[in-house]
Amino acid sequence: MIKKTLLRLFIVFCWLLCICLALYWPKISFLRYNNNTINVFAWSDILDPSVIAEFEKETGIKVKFNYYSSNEELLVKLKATGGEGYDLIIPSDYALGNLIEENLLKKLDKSKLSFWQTMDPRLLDKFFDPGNRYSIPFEWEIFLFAVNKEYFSHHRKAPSWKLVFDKKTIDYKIAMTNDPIEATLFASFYLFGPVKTLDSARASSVQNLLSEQKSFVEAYASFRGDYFLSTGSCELAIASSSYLWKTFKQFPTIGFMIPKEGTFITVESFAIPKPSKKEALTYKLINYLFKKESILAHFESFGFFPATLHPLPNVNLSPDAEKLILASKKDFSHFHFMHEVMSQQKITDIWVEVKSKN
Amino acid sequence: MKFTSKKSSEFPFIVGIPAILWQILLFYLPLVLIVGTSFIAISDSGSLEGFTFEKIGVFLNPTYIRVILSSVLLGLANATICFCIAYPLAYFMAFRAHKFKNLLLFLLLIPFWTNFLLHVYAWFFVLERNGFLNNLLKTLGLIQDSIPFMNSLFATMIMMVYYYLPFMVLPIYSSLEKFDYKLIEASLDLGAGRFKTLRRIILPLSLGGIRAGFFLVYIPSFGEFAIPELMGGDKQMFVGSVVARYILGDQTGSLGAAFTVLSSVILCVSSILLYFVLNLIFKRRGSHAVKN
Amino acid sequence: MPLKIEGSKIVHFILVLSTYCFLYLPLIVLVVFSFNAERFPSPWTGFSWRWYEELFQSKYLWQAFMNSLLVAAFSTLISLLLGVFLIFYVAQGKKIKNFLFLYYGNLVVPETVLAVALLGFFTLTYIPLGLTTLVLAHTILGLGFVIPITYSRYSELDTKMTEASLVLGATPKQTFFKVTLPLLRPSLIATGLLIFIISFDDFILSYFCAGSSAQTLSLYILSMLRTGVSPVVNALSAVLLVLSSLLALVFFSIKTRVRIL
Repeated sequence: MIKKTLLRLFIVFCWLLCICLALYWPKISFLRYNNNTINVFAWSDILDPSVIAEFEKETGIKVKFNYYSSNEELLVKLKATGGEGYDLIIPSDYALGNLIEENLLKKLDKSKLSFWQTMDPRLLDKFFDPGNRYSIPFEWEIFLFAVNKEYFSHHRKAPSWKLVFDKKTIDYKIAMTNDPIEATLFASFYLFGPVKTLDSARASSVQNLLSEQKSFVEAYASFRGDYFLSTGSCELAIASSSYLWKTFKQFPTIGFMIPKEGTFITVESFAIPKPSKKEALTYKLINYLFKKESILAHFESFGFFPATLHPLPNVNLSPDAEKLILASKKDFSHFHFMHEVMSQQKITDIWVEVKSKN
Repeated sequence: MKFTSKKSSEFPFIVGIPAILWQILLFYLPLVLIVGTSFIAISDSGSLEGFTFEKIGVFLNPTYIRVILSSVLLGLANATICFCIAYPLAYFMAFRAHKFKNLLLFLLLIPFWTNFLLHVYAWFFVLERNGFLNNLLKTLGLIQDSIPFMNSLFATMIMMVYYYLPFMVLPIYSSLEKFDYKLIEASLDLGAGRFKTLRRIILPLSLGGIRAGFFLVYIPSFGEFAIPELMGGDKQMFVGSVVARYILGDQTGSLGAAFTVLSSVILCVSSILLYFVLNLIFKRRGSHAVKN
Repeated sequence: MPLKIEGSKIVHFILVLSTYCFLYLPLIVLVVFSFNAERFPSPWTGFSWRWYEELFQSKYLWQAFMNSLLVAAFSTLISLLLGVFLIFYVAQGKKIKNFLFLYYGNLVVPETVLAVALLGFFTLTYIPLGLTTLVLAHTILGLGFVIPITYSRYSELDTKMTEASLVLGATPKQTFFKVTLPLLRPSLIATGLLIFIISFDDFILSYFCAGSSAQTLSLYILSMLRTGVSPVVNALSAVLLVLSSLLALVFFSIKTRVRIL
């Protein structure tokens, strides 16, 4: 009897082993040391696959991608593995600061980067990475309002955050961002200016403002602004400049406004995790991506402003698109960087509260 | 693996056990795990600290309870509306359709077998300000300006009913199909009107199908979050939306598990209540002579 | 009296007709607009195949489509295999009736709860998220169908066949492969189709368990929906509708010929 039970246990163990092998197989094949491959962990819409394909052809280095959809995901994954497994990551501004604090990044060897003099000085030496010891800014975008041009020229409203928050003067519908970090940040900016963090009293005011705003919100959507504008569901949508780039081509009735009090920008930078042993290959990739042709190709595909000073293509541009490029050349006195104004739990609580009430 | 003839009697076991193993490993173990992580505190360094109600406690405030209750209401409303539309349809298919029974069933299956997100997309075209419905009403001269159907609770409800209708129709249809029509004839012959027959005979005997339909609609509707986001402009939060926000926000993963556990408990309780309420409404009274 | 009954029958018919109109209206509008020369929100401007061309050239879409297909195929295969193996075990005379209830929970638990539980499990055990985890997740759904349905069909089978086979000298193993399995085949095919479609169209499990690296068709459509309205999705919908109808036809013809559910 004991023999039979032991045998059965052995069979169970064998099957469990098989199942575990199947489950962990992707991880095993991923971690296998491959001399000529670099692993990139990035947003899904930041690197142009055709540019990468050309890089692979030219240099023979293979680039493998893994994607994340939020900075939180990047932070958690990197903290969990200590940076193992990836050779290049592309965090946003505040996430970058976090990673540097946690000592997860490798210092850059600027002598290996051939393009440094083409960088836009406005983006260098920021609070999250003084001296750019760990990161190279790659792309950036501005948060602004996409507007129904006809409505706003007719009603002569000045570009201001009042257009999305002042209940008394708003008699139209807006499309609000669906990201609670952005929403609380904008609300806090409207009420208190460029503060770093909020105490609980101020947090309550932010919550009240957002709750009041709900009465004239058509929908919460971060990326459908142009759709709502084109169907006439709303007259104003909070959107990002990269998104609007494609919009201007398709919908000439949509224009943009930048609030005069100032607005927010977000910067995506390249960084190398500490445990990576393939910097030589990674530097090759970075140098390739900062070549003029790559920069312009990326701009055409995704619409992010490049972090270099290369002139952007200005043929066949609509007047709105030209205005947008001009706006991006201004100095950064009115541009603030994205950050979290409260703990993540508090932001989530406020967001759930705002949305669950009618 | 080769076995001698003595051990070949274990071959069925080798073959049969993976199914059970799979189920335990990938279904019961994860469920036990989320219940566990909801109640066990983990210190910052990663060591287990002990039993705690704190995580569940985070959600025992009016905001989150309100979210859970709106999900309950959404699910119940959806199930009720589906039932009101589904029952006549199932009845027609079972008793009145005769030759066309299979065709009707087939036509019901096609939308059921198409990707649900495409249905959501389809309704954009119908309900938008310059969509089909508004254009129709304008052509008929009934309205001047477009009615904003989209991004509202109305749009959410329409989509929910639209998607879950087959789930309600199919169980009711299959229980009605097994029905012996002679019972209805007998009831009519004995003088009961159509309505009384419906109430006293048909409804109680199809209770099994009605129950199955209600649960097949109520339970998934409870966890729904894509439809409120896309059709309702994400202006209302339901259980699914909160869970998605917590779980995919990663740093608060175990809190997400706690909220899921809490919502599941309330779902369980409400389902049991629903079961009794359905019995109360539809069960046959008095007559014991009719067998199920 | 007869007129009254006719009246109610007509009302009933109209009700059913309107329900079917309600069900099919959006789909018809969707397909019609897939041929519109201009994108929504323009009204009808002319007939064009343009969006279909764009559809068939889109790389990301085909990648997502192939992923969904792969996941659905593998989940169906694994679910059916596990089911057949279990039935084989039962066919050798072992009893599992008491353990059947273990599988009822798969379909009762809301998908969101299952997704959260699986995600927690995968994260805790450092299993990398991707197509593999998705296949595993879908097999759980699949098993919830396969085991109860196949077992109930098996227990309804006429034992005379298997008895005859054994009497004529076949081993239990041979009996299973040559007699039992062919008898169960229609049921297995139909259940397989059901699982395939459920896995292919699945959204909630993919949303939570695929990680960010794996893109399935549902997730692709979701990301397109979140960024507005594109007529390419109309074209995609029309294509998928045709495919679903074909699959439904196959399922249906099996169901009406042989009682399997």
